[in-house]
Amino acid sequence: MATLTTQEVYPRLGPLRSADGFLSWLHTTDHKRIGILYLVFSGFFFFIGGMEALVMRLQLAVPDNHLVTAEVYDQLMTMHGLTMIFFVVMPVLIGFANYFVPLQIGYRDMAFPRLNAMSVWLFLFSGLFMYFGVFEGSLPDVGWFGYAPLTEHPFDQTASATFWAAGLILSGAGSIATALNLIVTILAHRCPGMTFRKMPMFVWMVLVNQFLIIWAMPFLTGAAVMVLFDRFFGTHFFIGPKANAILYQHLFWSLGHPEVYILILPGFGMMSEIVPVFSRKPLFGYTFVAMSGVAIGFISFIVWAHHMFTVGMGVVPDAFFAATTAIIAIPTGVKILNWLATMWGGRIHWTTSMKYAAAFIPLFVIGGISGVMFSYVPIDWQTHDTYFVVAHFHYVMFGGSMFLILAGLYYWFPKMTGRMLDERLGNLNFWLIFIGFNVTFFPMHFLPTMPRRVYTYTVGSGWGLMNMISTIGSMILFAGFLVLAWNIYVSLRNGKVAGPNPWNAFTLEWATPSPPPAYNFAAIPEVRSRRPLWDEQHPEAPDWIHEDNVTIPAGVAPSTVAPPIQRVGPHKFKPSQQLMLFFISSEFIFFCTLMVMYTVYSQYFTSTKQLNIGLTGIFSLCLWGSSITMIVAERFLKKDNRRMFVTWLVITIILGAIFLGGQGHEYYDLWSHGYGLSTGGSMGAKVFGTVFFVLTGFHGFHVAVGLVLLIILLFMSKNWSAKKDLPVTVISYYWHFVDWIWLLIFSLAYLRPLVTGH
Amino acid sequence: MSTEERIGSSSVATLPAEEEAEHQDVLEPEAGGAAHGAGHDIHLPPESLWPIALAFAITICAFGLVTNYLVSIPGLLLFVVALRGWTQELLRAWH
Repeated sequence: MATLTTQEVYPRLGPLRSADGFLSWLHTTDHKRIGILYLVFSGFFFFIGGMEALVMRLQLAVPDNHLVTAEVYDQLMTMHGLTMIFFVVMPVLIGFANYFVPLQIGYRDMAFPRLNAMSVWLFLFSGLFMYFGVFEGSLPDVGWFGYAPLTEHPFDQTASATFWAAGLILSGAGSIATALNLIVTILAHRCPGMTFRKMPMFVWMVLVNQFLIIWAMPFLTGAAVMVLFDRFFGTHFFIGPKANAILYQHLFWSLGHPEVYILILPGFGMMSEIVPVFSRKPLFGYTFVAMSGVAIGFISFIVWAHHMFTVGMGVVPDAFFAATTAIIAIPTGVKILNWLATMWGGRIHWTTSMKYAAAFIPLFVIGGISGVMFSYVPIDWQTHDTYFVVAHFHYVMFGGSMFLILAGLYYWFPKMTGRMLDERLGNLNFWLIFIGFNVTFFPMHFLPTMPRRVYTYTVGSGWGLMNMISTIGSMILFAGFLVLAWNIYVSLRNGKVAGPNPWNAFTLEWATPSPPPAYNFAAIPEVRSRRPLWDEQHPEAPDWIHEDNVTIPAGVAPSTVAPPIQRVGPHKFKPSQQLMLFFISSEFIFFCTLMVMYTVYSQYFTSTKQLNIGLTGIFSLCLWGSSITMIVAERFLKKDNRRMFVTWLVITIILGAIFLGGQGHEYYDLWSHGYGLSTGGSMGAKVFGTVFFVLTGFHGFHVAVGLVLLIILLFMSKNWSAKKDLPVTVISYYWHFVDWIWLLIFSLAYLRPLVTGH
Repeated sequence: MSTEERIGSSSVATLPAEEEAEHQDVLEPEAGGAAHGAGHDIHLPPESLWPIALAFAITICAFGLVTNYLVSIPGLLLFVVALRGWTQELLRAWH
């Protein structure tokens, strides 16, 4: 095996200082620079979100305080939540993933560098977009979950809820784009030898996390779209006699709860990198850590309604969600035990990074245990929307995610900049944040009757003391972050030069110079175990001996009997095919959201007799037929028969256009009979118009996009041949998807009434 | 803006032929430095202004919602231009 570790030392900041200056950051496609952009932008938003928190703490320090008005307080608490969740923790973790996943899997960049660049800019712009509300009268003030009907026009006369909904859709699009990118990068581009059993744990957790993002985000997109339709087109989703605000809550928390794990899983991965390195041991129970992460991913999709126990869903749903919520604590607990067992008996190096990692365990356990308490429905009824909940989720999000982010920052800063962060300042910074955090949030456990999201309280409530302690704690916390900022500043200027592997760590990113060159690795590395750098440094006791159960005959050097490097791939699907397939899975969830919405509201329909099943059936056959003609076209392209390919492609386009024309005809017909997006004779007819036009309209829009793509394929047809047919294949996947999702929609909207009678 | 960035000849790397074939992809043809033929330099993705332009275009379209629909029009135009530029870049590199 070629040597992995480099001897090069970069004394200066390398990629941080590009030859062509500041503007080069605008058009960079380097995953490392994009990772740094993510971190810098989220640092900016962290400053804003932190300031909002400080103002809120000052307001709450004493009873009957009027530092800010109730209206301003609502905006502060909404933006604090949104900022910290969507514009700080999520992008910081994505930033670390951007920087370190390609390095850890031994690759030169992300699978789609331009898409990656677009994601980071979309993240920045969506954050700025949401804050732009301040110039339009009001920042979003509806809580981070924007419960309907608070977001509807009668309750929100400014544009603030529009900023909220559109901003979330934008940032969601960026997150999904980068999640797809990371998934394909990890699946398609691991270096030789890095099978799933040998992947660094950070890569594992990032992978699981990206699936949560692509499958959970569309729920929120769907809900936000409905809110926007209500606001702009007067539809009747969440306002009016047949409004269903509970549906909104279900949709929101279908994102909201996986989101909680989205915010912690990559952190679990960082923990699983940092603890072994500073305990000088391999990770205990690798398989358990990986599989418990997968289990958390799955279970996180079936716990959402524990946010809604007070809605009164009934005994059975309550019991179900109570059980799943208690169960998800098990795989999480497994991980805690694994990290403790990793530390057990290890030679622990108490660096700042390790201190943060170690402090994470008790803090996260406190937050986790109060979380399990809420799974008991009666406890939840008592403590819902109180400061006990605020204490809980800050222990999870700050004591959990933020401590791991800080551990990761101290761990990876040397790799990113070539400079060590100062350990003495780091120590001070750690203790200030640790003490400040606990002084801020622990007292909130003693306020289980104080309602959250209320801007002040009375003297007689008796909540003054704990609130004052909490505010003092937040000042200590603030000082801690000032020290961190100072540490970053001085270390960038005069920090100790790091060298390639200052922590004597085990994974591939440490085989590169610090900071790594643009191409990462001069030669793509090959690995045999989970700790390739350990193997290199200890040829007498490499990890693959126990990982692969190899018996070494006495007196023989292990390297002579090393098993061959395991191949990764070849992959059945090329990266762009994978990208499209995973994108389609995300789109599928979006359509599921719309179909659930249709099903829920269909109980209010008085009649669906106005739908002409026969005529639409014929148009539908055209659409499904176009899927088959597309396959025929592809077959001809495979045979290099371009003329027949073009012919069948044209037939496909015509069939698709006939379907769209048919839909237009149907819309006109309904409209002339008095059915519109928000109009209709009875309330039932209005609801029908709302849900029917939104469901079929979104499908029609997707068909139109598919048609545009096919027409582009047609105009560029001279570029395609049997060998060069990938764009055709990728776009055909999308076309097949829009064709066959219509089968579900057609069954739901047209065929189901034949059975149910209305 | 699509100047292809190549690194110096001091760090030439080659990939096994089958792996190279696997990396040939349309959406990001040069991603990850799949060398086009043994002995060539590492190819890195070229820098591009289209991603930031596209992100900006989408944001401007959204601004139309909160201000005036007319604001979305330049957003849509930029969207089309950026998407076209992006596609052209991909195609150029792919051939």
